[in-house]
Amino acid sequence: MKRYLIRRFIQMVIVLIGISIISFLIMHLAPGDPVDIMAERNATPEQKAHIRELYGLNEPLPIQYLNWIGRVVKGDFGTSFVTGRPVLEMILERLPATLILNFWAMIIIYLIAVPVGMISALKQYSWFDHVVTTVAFFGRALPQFWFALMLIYFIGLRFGGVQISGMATWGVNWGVQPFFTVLQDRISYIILPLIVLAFSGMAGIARYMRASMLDVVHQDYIRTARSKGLPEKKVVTGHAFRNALLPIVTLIGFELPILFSGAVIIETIFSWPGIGLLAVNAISQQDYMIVMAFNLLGATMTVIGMFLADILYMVVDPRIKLE
Amino acid sequence: MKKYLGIVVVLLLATAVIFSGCTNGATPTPSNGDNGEDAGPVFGGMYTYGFSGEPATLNPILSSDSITSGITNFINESLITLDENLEFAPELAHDWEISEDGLVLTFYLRDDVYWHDGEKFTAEDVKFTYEMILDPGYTGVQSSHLKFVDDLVIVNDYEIEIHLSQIDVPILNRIAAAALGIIPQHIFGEVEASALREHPNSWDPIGTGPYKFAEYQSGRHVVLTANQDYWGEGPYIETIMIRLYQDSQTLLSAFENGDIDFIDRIPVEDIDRIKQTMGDDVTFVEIANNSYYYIGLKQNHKFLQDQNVRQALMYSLDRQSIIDVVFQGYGTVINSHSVPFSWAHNEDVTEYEQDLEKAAELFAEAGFTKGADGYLYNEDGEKLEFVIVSMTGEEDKANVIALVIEQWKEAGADVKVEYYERSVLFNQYLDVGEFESYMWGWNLSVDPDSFNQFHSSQAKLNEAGEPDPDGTLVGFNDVEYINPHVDALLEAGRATYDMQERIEIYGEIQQILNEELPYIFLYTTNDVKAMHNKVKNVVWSPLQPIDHHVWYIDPAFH
Repeated sequence: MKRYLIRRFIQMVIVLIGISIISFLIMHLAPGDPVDIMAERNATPEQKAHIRELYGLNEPLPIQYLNWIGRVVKGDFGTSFVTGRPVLEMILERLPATLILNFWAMIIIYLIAVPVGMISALKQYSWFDHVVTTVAFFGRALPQFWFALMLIYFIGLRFGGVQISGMATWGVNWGVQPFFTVLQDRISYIILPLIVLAFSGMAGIARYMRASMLDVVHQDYIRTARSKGLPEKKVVTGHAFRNALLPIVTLIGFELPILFSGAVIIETIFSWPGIGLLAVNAISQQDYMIVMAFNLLGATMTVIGMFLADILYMVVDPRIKLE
Repeated sequence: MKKYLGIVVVLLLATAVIFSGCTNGATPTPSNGDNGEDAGPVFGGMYTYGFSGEPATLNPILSSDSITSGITNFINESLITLDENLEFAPELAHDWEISEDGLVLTFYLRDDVYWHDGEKFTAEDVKFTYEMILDPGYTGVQSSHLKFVDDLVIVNDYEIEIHLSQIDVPILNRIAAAALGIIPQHIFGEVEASALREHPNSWDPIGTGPYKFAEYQSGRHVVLTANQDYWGEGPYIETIMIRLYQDSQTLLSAFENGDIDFIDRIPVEDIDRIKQTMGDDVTFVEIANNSYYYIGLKQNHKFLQDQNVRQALMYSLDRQSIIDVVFQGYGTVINSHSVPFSWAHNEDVTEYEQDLEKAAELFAEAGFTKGADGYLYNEDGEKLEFVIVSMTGEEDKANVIALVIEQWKEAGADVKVEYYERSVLFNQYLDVGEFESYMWGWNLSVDPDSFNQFHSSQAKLNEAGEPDPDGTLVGFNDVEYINPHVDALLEAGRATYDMQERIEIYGEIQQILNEELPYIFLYTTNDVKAMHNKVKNVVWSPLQPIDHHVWYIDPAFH
């Protein structure tokens, strides 16, 4: 077990180094640089060449990479070309918005999708199952941006209590106003993006849960449980449910990177100040420093998430041994 | 993504039209301004507006984006400014004069101005700001604004002289712009020019203006508060809230929802609907943009070097129809490097109304005859063809180019378009001057100077500094337009302060450009802006709402 953990850890470091090189190369192989975007046609070609030199953008790539990775190891992700602000600060100030939205979306998705998927498996081909299946396909097929715009036009613009952009009213803060006033304010902003994320995310999990449950209820040990005279309730909760949950639990490991990555479309439409938009804007501005820090963060989260998934497998399924 | 938004909005509109038919016959509401029942300015309230995007910095001298200048406008001030007639007006300098030889500009500064942190504003700050821009380590784009500044001499605390190496009349306009806003020496005095962008106060600005910076939250807002110690009138608005949106369609929804009080540009396809739904609460102002769009033609191109070909291309186009189709009429045809409301605009130029016969004649003169396939061929059997390069992601421009190509095809020219991502377009085409033709637009200054675009010293130059098609591109004369007479006129226009003389000089330049056509001049657009009626006393210049410090919010909305 210990050896396995050490091996996994070394693998993780190698993967991260590889990813840092690849993301560095991709950003630098793309034509153009931040100076083009920043100065656009407000600066003459002559001026641009001068600014490029000041930023050290003329140095050979391996040197630029070593300079960068050397600082990253020390925890310094550099400053943004465009804003001049420390990259880590820019990412950290955007992260909470993304975490809040994705965290609640995930909670809602699992709270609803798991029981719904289970019931529709137990009552396969009932009206409930048909409704769930239809709604799930609908939710899967519905383009998020379209659904979001519909919500804005038919709910946001019609009901005063529902906000269509941003995440908080300026001046309404925890500790300043009464708890419920602030809570109501925050909910009025998060409700629409949350509905979109939950609705489109729920479909997949519900279908997954249904399939997993169907798989389990046709297993021999369930038949055995039934034949030895256990009440149906006990068969379902005691035997079927826990086993059907196995693949779902391990899914949570894969959700970790999603939690940290922004939903760009939703953030754009609802002006939700999350991290996805920061990354996309940085890409279009060729602001290397932010993009590379963001890639590294995503890679780290994915690697850790995979690792957690493996551990979780072992915890919930005694048949699996990690060597 | 934008494209889809557009489709969805159209669908929504269609639905809205169907449903509105069921409710009631909407009565047209005239857009009304102030109601006359004014009690005069009252302090208080909040003015909210929004941008689609994020400021790149909050330091005026590093700004290169309109969002930054739209914010620092409230916080920082320049020596002089432009009033509602686009004439120079005092700001930090209460008076100024120009020496006999035109080489020394003396500014007399106000002695009652304090920075937001309480320090006194003096001529040192002005000298410091301009020297920062002239520093070799400066990373912003304003250095060319002060290109001919030789020396900055402080006469006393409230008097500064700008010495020029040669007469540079357009400099007054640049000094009046927000991009040359004065920054405090006592804050930035110790920092290297190359590290100015990283300085914490580049994101926590201290100015002399009517509004003080309060807070910035990335992706959310910038908040400004009234500067109670402002030297001039006002300010009357307690809080300015600048919301940051991520998409122009979201910005529009926010305006419709009442989240913001002002919108800089309503998309043309939404104007009629918004006028219907919001006409009671909002004042609409249609403003011509101080910019124009064109297709630049490489002047030494195998086919395009012939003036007859260029003129024929111009006569082949029905530019008004393009404006009507793409911009629903919110625009004006442009025939030279000037917009109609400029003080130097010359009406007396060829208008190039579509005339296919004339175009055919000119093509024939250039040696082109129509082949069996409908395209034009010269004596060597070469087809008249070239490529326009343009930027991806701009729907309006793409629509214009499609119509232009269609009309040119009709006339027999086989023109293709290639789209490139922004930095590729600059890197491989525009900044190196390698293209047959390209589409772009110029944002103009109030000053008619066009030295950077058409002077031969701004084209590709060789080591000796002479124009050379194999040289390196220096300025914006990427079409390599070389005309010694225009060179002389452009130099003369920069060298005289006499308004009448300048009108004549730039009038002549416009005529020559109109005849020789380094560009296919296309159009300028009009924006419909909208301001909520609760904001009172708004001053509109021909370009934008100005003088925020005298605005106030209707007390009913406090």
